[in-house]
Amino acid sequence: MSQATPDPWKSVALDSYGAALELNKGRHWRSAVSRAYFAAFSMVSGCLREIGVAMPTGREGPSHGGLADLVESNLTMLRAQDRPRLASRLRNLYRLRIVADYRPSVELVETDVRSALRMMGDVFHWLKEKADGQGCQ
Amino acid sequence: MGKVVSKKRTKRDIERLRKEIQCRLDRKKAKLGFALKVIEETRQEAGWLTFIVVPDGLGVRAYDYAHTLTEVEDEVEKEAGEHYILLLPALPD
Repeated sequence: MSQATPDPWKSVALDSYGAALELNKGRHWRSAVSRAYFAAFSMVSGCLREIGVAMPTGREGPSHGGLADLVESNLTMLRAQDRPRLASRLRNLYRLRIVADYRPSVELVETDVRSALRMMGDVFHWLKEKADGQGCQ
Repeated sequence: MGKVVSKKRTKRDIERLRKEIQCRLDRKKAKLGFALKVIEETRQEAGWLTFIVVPDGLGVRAYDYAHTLTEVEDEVEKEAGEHYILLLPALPD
């Protein structure tokens, strides 16, 4: 089902996307990774809500742990081979975000941030381009 | 293919899975250049069983750490047939 106005998660996604790029520019590596994940999470959450996927009781978005599973089973407007790729990016990004925020003893360097931004970009690309005109854009 | 239903796991299930995951992590040690260890603490929530995997020594690279957990999670699902397993670097709040 397509909506006339985009789901509010998408505006959160775009804001976080811009913030991730700015934080990268400012060499705030951990914060950049954290925002990159949240941008991807928010964009996927918006897409899932727009196609009518029910969120857990009392929550506006899906659980982080189960997000990749929801992608594989619900985002059928994407090509079959792209769904697991998108899910894999989300799972890597989520773990990298946990390392960034909860494992300060693990060094996080510029190349890690580049990987995170690339994965964020992939998620946006697949959802904006490949699902174009099919309920989630 | 039908949807796989999640299940509440017993202590014995969890211990067997912990060993399975640790074994797979150990196999990747030489290629990675650092060791990862599954700790005792687990969480069962909304049908998902979460294991925490921590660095066991120095030289950990963040992306490789994250990616390895995704790889092992995939292996456990595809090769061992265990679904609804999450491997995380820490339990987020």
